[in-house]
Amino acid sequence: MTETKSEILQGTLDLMVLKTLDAMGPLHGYGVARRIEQVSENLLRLNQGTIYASLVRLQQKGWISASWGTSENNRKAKFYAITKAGRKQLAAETENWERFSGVIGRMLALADRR
Amino acid sequence: MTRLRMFASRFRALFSLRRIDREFEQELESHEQLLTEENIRRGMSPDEARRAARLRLGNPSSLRESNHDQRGLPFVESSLRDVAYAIRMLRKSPGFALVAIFTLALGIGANVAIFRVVDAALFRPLPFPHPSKLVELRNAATDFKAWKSETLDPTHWWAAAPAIASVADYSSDYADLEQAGMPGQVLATLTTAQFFRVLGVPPLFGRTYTAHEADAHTAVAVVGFRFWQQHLGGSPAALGKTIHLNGHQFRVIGVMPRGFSFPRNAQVWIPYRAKPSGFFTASVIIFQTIARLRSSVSLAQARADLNVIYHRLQKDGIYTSPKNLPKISPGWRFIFGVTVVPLRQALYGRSRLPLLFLLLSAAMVWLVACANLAGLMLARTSARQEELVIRAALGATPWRLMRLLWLESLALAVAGGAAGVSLAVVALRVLLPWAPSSIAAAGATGDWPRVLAFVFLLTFASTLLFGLAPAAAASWPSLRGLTERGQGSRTTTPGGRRARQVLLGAETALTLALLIAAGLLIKSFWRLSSQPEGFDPRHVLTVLVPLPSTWSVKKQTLLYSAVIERVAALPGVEAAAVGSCLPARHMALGMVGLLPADHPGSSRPVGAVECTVSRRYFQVLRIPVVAGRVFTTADIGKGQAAAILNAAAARKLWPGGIALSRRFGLTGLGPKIEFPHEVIGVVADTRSWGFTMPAFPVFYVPYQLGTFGRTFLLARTSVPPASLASAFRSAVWSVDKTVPVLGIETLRQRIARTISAQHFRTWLCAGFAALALILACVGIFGVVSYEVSRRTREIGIRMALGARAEEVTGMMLRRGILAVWIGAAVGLGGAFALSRWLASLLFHLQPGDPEVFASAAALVLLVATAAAWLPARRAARVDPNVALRHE
Repeated sequence: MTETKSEILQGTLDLMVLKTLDAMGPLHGYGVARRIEQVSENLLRLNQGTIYASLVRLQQKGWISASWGTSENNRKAKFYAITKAGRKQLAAETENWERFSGVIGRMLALADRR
Repeated sequence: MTRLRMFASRFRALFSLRRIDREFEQELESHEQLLTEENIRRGMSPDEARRAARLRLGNPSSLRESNHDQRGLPFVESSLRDVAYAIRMLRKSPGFALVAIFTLALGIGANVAIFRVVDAALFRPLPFPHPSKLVELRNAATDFKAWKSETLDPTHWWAAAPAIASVADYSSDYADLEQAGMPGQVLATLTTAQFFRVLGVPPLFGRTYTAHEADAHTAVAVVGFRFWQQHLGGSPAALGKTIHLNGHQFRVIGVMPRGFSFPRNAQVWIPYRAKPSGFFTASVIIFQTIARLRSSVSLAQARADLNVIYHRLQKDGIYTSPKNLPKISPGWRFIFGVTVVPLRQALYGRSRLPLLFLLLSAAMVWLVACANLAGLMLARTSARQEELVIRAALGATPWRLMRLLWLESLALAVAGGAAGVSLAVVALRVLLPWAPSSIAAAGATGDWPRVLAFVFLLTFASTLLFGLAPAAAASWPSLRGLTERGQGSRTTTPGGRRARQVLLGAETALTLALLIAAGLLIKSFWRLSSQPEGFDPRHVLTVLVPLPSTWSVKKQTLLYSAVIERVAALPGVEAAAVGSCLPARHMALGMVGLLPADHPGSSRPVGAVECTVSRRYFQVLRIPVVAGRVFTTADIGKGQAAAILNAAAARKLWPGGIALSRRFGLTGLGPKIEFPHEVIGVVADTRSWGFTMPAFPVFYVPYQLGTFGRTFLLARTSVPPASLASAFRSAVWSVDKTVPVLGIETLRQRIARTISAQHFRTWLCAGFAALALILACVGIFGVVSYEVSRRTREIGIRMALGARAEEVTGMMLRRGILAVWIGAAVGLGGAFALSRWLASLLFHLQPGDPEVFASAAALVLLVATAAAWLPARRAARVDPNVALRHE
């Protein structure tokens, strides 16, 4: 059975979260999860709770910061924002990722020429 | 870097986990709300929307848990929980916990106390800058020409050596302190000017004395921190104040930093020329020499350098012989050359072996304690098999179970360690006053941080020994164990039993080895103290009556003769005398050289102790007269030089000949009488310092010819001597109220101090051995009782099948005793090796003394059998009816 809804690679979720916060500005957990799903055009269906593991990890590394604010429905919510260190990390990882996906792309192209 | 930040963040979170959990709860709730609203917007019913939101979000309790673990440090948290659990378990069995903690406290406490002393003496660098460059120069402080001229520093010869950066002489003795109505004694030290330079310690404030002050007769003093605190109020205003030592005044010019004290516990330092004559009570001041080598110089180089100077001194004949004496070979005092000894070795070299031995004994007690505890823990672990099985069944990994058991050991060990430290503090306070002074001084300067590090190490090692080993040896519970409940857990596992046997054997071996070592020391000490003494120490009261050196000989003689008369007239006194020395306390210090008049050039001077005595001295001490006679009043006229020798001196001066009526002279140290003496009598040898030395040559002269600072008044009594103490004092004071009367003691008390080092280590080691024996007995008793209670059912079956009581007892006994026998055999071997190492501490005793070995082995086996028999006998009393129903 082929899966159309892909499993997320270990570590890539962190990168997605970082990028999302970089692009969108401060968001709460729901917002981040929603945004990732939208961008992936619902190809990625998250168990939305897992986003929090990623958020905690990034916070502990000092790449994002958290503060309490008010959500659009007037509820207390925690907003996450990317930090300076986070931006630096994002730039580095983006480059890494592009190199990596380039390699993978070439590898897959190779296999076609059998 | 990132890792570190993550750890810091997690660590910080440990302290606010509850708040973090609450916040996450809120966050999840708000997330769920937003999802629900989104779903409603998509047209779901509220109930459906909420359900779908929950599905999208995931299981909230597992999310909460993983968030919690991710935020904090789950390992630390669960460990803390385990510790809390361990403590709760221990509190449930307070008897076990108390026995365990007390056992450990004994083991750890003994080690901590000994370590504190050994560390200060042997391991820790001496508390001076660059201590490896400090040396003692032996036979160096003997340049009498320099001493006599009173202008030269006696160390000036050696200062010229290129290897030496600085060199100083010092001599210390207890001085009487009169300070603001607080009479006391303080160890005062005469030093040359470079003393503080050599040690490399500047004063805390004020200054030390200059070379000029040290050479001139200036009465200045540098005091130690403790002295400053106790006697000078600890204020900077102390500088310039006056202190009174032995009746002399000294102006305080400097205070040394806290912890500085050399030699031993010296607290006052004064220039060596300040009041040399009569300041110390000894008739001759013996100086010791310390030096600091240049940083690039090795010990061998220093030796070579000093020998060059020594040879030059010998060749130049710098050393002039005293007048009126036959010619002696130049430089005879330098016969042995100068020896360079590292300062630590000079200070503690002789205590090294005894100290290491005591540390080893303490370590053995600790091992026995741990083995003991390991046995207890093993039994406890087996008894908790069911609990462990359930835990394993619920998913605890073996590692996790092991940690649980280990943490319980840790809780015990920490409590035991803390109790041990308190025990050590008390033990040091009680024991150090009994210790020889160098050991006591080392114990007083111990370094607590190092000692505490040692305590932590010991505590941790304890948990490994008694906690982890049994935990590992116990068979691991499995689910199978759970199903076999009721049968499986009733009998002991072979692994656990073997571990217990090994522990029993180890305990026995250690105890026996320690007991034999203690036995050897005790037997040696007993032989030592039952040596013939050459005098009768019973019923003799002694008191020190030092007179000011400013008094003339005539004035001193008058006072002493009046005092002798008064004391002899006291009821209960049989005879009284004065003397400048006491038997059994002769040391190689304070000696002069004797030369026979008939063949002076041919032989080396005989080193001898000079002792000025009154007529009845020999009668009071009951020293037998071997030949000739004792002094009479006729011997005291002008120009007379009657002398009495002891047998050792006579033998050495005229080997194989008769000493009586022959003449001899002496090479003096400083300004002393220097004419030939005639031998009028020979008395028996008396014991010298500490029994172990051969009898020292002594020559006696009448005190009327000149007494020297230190004079004892002694009396033979017909009543217990101590009861006459106050009568003695008032008898002296009835002659002259200003005369000091110091240290009233019986002769026995004074003599006891000469063997205090042997005494101390013997009893300490015996104490350790007794401790080990008691612990081992408790251990054997415990293990056998445990076996009996575990096998009650089996015993019941055996008895129901017709086994007799003796058979059951024998069976239980054999189990414990076999291990004990094997352990004893190992212990004998160990003791043999140990005793070889101890050989130099033994006096007239072979290290493999069969009597000691046999009796110690018999004692251990007897006591161990008794300890095993008591519970084994209980096995025979098992009622089969009860036993078979035993759960």
